[in-house]
Amino acid sequence: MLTNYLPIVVVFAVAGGLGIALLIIARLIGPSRPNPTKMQPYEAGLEQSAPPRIRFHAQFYRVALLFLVFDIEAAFFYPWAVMFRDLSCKGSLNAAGKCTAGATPFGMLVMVAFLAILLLALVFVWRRKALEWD
Amino acid sequence: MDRRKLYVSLLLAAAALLLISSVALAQAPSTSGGVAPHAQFYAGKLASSKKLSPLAMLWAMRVLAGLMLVGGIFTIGSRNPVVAALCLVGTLFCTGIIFLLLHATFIAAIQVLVYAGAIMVLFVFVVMSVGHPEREEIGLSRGIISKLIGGAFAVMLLLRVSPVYMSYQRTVNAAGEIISKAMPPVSSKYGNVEHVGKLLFSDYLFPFEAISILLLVAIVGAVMVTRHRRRDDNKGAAAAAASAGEG
Amino acid sequence: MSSAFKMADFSFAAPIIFVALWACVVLLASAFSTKSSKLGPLTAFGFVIGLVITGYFWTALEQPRMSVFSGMLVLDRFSLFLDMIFLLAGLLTSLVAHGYVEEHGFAESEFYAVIALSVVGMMLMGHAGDFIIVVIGLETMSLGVYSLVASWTDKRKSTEAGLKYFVMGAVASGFLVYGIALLYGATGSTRLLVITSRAAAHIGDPLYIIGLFMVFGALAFKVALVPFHMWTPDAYEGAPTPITGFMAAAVKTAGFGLLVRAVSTIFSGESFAYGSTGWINIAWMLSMLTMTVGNVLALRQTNIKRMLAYSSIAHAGYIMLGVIAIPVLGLDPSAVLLYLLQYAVTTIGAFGVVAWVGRRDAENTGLEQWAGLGARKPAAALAMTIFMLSLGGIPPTAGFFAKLYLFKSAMGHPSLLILVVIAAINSVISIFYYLKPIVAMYFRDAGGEPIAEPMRSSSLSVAITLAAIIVFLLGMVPGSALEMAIKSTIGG
Repeated sequence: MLTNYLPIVVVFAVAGGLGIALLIIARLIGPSRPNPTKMQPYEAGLEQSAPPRIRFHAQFYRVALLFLVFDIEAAFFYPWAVMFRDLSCKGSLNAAGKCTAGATPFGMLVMVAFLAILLLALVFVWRRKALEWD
Repeated sequence: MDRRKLYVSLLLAAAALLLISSVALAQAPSTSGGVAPHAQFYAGKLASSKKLSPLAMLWAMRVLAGLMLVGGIFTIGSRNPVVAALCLVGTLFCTGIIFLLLHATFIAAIQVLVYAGAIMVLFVFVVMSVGHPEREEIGLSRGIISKLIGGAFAVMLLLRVSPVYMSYQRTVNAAGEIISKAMPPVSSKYGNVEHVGKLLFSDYLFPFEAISILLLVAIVGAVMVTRHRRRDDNKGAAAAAASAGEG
Repeated sequence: MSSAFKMADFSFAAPIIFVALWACVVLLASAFSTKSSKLGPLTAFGFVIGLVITGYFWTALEQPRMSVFSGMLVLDRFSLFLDMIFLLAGLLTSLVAHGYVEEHGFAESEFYAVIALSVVGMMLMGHAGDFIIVVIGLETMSLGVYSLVASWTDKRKSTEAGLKYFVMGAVASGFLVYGIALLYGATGSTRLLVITSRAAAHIGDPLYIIGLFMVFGALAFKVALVPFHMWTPDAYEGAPTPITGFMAAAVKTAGFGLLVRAVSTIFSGESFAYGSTGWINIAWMLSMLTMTVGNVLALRQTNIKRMLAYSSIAHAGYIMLGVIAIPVLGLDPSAVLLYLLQYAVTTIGAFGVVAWVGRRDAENTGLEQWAGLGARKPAAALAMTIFMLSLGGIPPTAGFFAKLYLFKSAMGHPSLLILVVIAAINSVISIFYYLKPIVAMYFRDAGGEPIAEPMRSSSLSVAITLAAIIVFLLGMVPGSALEMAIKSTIGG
């Protein structure tokens, strides 16, 4: 069962190995002739006039936080979607995955109840203009 | 505080923890070729035929736990916040792999997607925009008294708990397996999306719905705390006028 | 899909579901109304209905314990009594906050919705039959309270308090979850009763014991026992005053409610309670330290909010004494419940007066600013006097009776008797600082100092009056409340 994950391991190994290999190769065969102009962040652009690190307003983080919460919400969809057919059936599914006992709105309702509250959150965020920049 | 001292003390603490736990593990009598019961516990999770051997499981667990510890130490010890964040990614990733080894595939996927993905994006976002203070005194710089009190409590706790930890023997049957009704053998479907979904919408339905309230309060709280500062102070002036009118 | 629960389970969770829905209504109203002036009373109204529903459940409950949603929620009179304390605290807080927010003009109307949502979290904690619900409830409560503390975004201290509370609270939550994970690792379940029934097989199991202590530590943080109290003074001082009252009353009650439930389930085995790794010894020490440190540090405070913050630490020590007495003497939790009830009402009332005395840009939390208040505002001064006497445990107030009952019920064991004596000495010490505001209000001349000029807010007056009446009545005729507390046993 764990061998199923071998391709993932291979992908990670190739990705990591390639990154490291390219760095090493560049270091080994690339010419290194630094000069002050070259070392500047923007060799071709204007001189840097102010430090790049400034304080951002908290509303940037708010957007990030809202993204995070809705992202976590989305994680709950996955098991629900997989189980939806099962949840919408009064009895249990037969071997072919068909429902023979008639439908029930249960599967829909559990998610509607969950989503209604989060929809309320979205309405609130919208009305509070928390997603707008000024 | 000196950074080197911090690293050394953290590593010592980690080593002490590992030592205590391995002593505790070695305590239990074992009849299956010197393999600690811990490994059998993990192996017990893998009821399918294609399981890792207990010894391989134990070593996988040890390596991953070691990586997590190192990652954690560098997360709190690193001066560069970006490095700290990346070490945290590594730690969370190792947690994901441990979930995978326990065949909790769905949790593993969520762990990587949500923690190592979304939450770390937020962290890196904050780190990048706040920037790193060049000469920031790291923590642990409180007064000597609070250090002493904290240290005394830690020592007391350790003295009280460690004898128990050392002397505890897990009940092991003749075959060397841990006897625990709590850990029934798991089916091959254990931990996949379907399994999680089945539980989530039956036994755990109420917690599932309650989570929406938790997410709601998180959203509302975040909006409330990061509210725009009133530049014109219209509302405040109106409220003051209203209260003056009342009075 | 054969469901493991019945739809009827939802009706048994009615108090929680109602408050949650009401919070959603308030939130919706706050999103769509431009004026926030009606939302405080609207929220308070919801809490009143919630109280009625909970009261009905309390009287109508036939079994000592009902388990719904396949054991996730527990319905017993103990949890319903706790619900009533939360709802009462929420009611008083939203009334106090209504006046305070209008006066200082700092928060948007979602303030009230967050109060209601935190109350939902507390109710979940009180009804929890499973650690999953404990975590969800605790986080719902905590996230709400963190943001309420930091809601005064123009005030640096408020933001700082919120941040401190958040960071420390997150660490405590981490400990709680880790402890739960260890308990699960040991026993294979997160259900409180299942863990309890399997505990006998885990005597001396390090996983179980360390898990217990982690859970205990996290709860000790939430109720601010010394040495887990460091965050308390700053968070209490920086928070908007009504929220300080809410934290001292409701958050503390929720923490102690959970602690009592834990004590009667997962902590209950003899071998976990006594001996070198027993929690009773440690709890005994924490209780002694908490009441002493809280009272001694409160003596030095000149800021009323800070003084009340230390006072709330000291009261946590007294309540802890009651919690220890439950397993040692085999008591019901009535003494703790009664104490929590009167403390919640008294402390919200006291913070209500503190909120009432402040004006825009002048919070007047210094003791010297209260000079001469007794002559100018006799009603408010009287209310404050009642609250201070109650906190100090002087008759004829609720504080006296509850303290008497708590101490008396705990006296049956020699080691507890020592603790009761320490607590009694502490109560005497505490009278010194509780008298300070009274002395300032009645016996100190205002002189040339600026005098507190209280705000005018009918809802705040209602809240203070209500709290004062409850405190007075609980002190004069405690019979029915006591009877109710005695009936509020933990089922099963």
